[in-house]
Amino acid sequence: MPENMPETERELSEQDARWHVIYVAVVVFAVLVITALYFFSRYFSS
Amino acid sequence: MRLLDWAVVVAYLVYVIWDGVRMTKHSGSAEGYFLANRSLPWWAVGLSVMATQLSAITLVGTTGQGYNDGMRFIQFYYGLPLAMVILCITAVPFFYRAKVFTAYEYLEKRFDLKTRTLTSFFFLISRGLGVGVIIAAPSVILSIVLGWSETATVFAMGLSTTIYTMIGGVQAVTWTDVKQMIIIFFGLFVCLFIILSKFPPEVSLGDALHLAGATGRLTTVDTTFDLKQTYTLWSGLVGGLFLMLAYFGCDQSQVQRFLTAKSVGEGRTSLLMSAFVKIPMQFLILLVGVLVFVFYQFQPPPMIFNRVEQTKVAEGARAADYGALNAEYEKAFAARQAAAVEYVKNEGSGGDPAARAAARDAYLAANKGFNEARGRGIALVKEASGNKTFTDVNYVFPTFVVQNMPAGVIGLIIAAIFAAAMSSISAELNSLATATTIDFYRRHYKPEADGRHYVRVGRIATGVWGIFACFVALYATSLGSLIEVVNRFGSFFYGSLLGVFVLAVAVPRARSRGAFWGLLFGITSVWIASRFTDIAFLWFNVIGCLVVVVVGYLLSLTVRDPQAR
Repeated sequence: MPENMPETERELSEQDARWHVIYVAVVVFAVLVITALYFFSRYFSS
Repeated sequence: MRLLDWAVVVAYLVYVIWDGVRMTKHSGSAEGYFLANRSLPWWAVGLSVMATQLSAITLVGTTGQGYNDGMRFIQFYYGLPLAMVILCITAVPFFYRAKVFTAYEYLEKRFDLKTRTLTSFFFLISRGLGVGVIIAAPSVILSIVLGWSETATVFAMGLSTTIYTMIGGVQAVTWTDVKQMIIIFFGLFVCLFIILSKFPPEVSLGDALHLAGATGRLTTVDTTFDLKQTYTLWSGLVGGLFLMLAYFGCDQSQVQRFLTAKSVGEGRTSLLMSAFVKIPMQFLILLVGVLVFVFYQFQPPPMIFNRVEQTKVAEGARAADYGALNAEYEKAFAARQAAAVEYVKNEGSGGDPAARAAARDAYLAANKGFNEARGRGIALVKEASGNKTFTDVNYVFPTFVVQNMPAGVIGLIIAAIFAAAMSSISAELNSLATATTIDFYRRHYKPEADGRHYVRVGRIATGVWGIFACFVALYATSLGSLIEVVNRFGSFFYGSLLGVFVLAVAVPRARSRGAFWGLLFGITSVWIASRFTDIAFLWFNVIGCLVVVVVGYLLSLTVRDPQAR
């Protein structure tokens, strides 16, 4: 982030960055849940 | 139901109706009545989003599907988390900052009035039918539990919810949703705990899951790519993604939830709550159905769960056939029970693999014989009643609850089913009234009236939609698995509605005529796909959306549009 960026824009960028981290966390969580369900199914179906 | 159960249900109803009605003081203006003055916290909106989607059908139909088919239905929700992320990036800030009452208002700014009116009209049709089906589910339960006629039950349920929604507006809807979600979760956990406590002492949770797994009921990921198969990983990830994008991003009943949030951030967080909770919650509900299946390995289930139809056949002209089939069914159950006990014993011992495999094969053969016997019973009901689409999937869970739960808990589960139904019905009616008032009455008939006038119109519209939904509910009770019926209704329109919003937001070259005709082409293509192919309904969302975008784009290239912006 450029150092001369105005305060409000800097805050907005920081907010956006925080949201992007949250979005990635949501998708990773979903992949983990589906993977866990797959192994759960395989374990009890064998 | 005993006195204690009645007390629980009545206490719940009185509290919810009182809670909804007392919100009247906050709903004097149009902004207050339809959008709660955009003042609600994320957790309340998030619970309301979940409560709106989680109807009584989710409890009754999904547990029935868990019992009959197992967990494959969970794949339907695999596209939801990604859909929520996409909507948080696009729809939430977009609609919130546009300061609109309905999602369709924006389409007039981007395209023209007729596109807004057409999309809002399709929303009214699909949701008007959908809310009818949502009323039908708890009415089916009440008709069994209380012995009321379905007609009386539909009107009792639908009209009581309509009244409190008319009076309280969106604030009443949201705050009652919060309490209703708490009751639903509490009821589910109590139910799960009691089912587990009713297993024979030698059957652990692990044994129960192995039994269910052996019959394929724990399949949660099916990687088969088959467009005709309803629930697969691909239909869930792709078809489910499109459906969820359309449902949460273009359906007023959900858009109106996050429009009531305090800020864009709170609106986003409310949707992400579903992204985290929805799949585990559906797993819990399906698990209840699967464990009911395991419970009935050791306790005799009725051959026909719909006791009204069962009594008709057992006492009608085909009574002798029914008696013979029932005797066969009881024999098949005894054989399966013995095989299940043997299977559990061998699984638990961890001994000889050959003996375990033999016990498993014997159990699967006995289970097949049992299913065939039950299938013959259902075929007899179809013949005797003349209803070729008869299914008793929706009767499994309520029958189990009434026959096996202790006093007080039956009341709690019935209250939870009521809560699920009322939370969805109220939100749907409120959104139908909002679209009718804002997109039709205010836009086409009386644009300059004051806020109080629109609140009055909104209340009248809520009442009219409530009555319409009751009549649809009467028809819906005779259809198959209720949850699929609702999703089918949705899938006829959702994909095409999504296509119009994609054109609006992501295709700068799109013009009004392209959007309008694209929408009509999209819905026609979905109708053709459903009429002339065996493609599973989740894919209709993809077909509808793609046809609208492609046709809309091509028409926009070729048709001169003087109103283009």
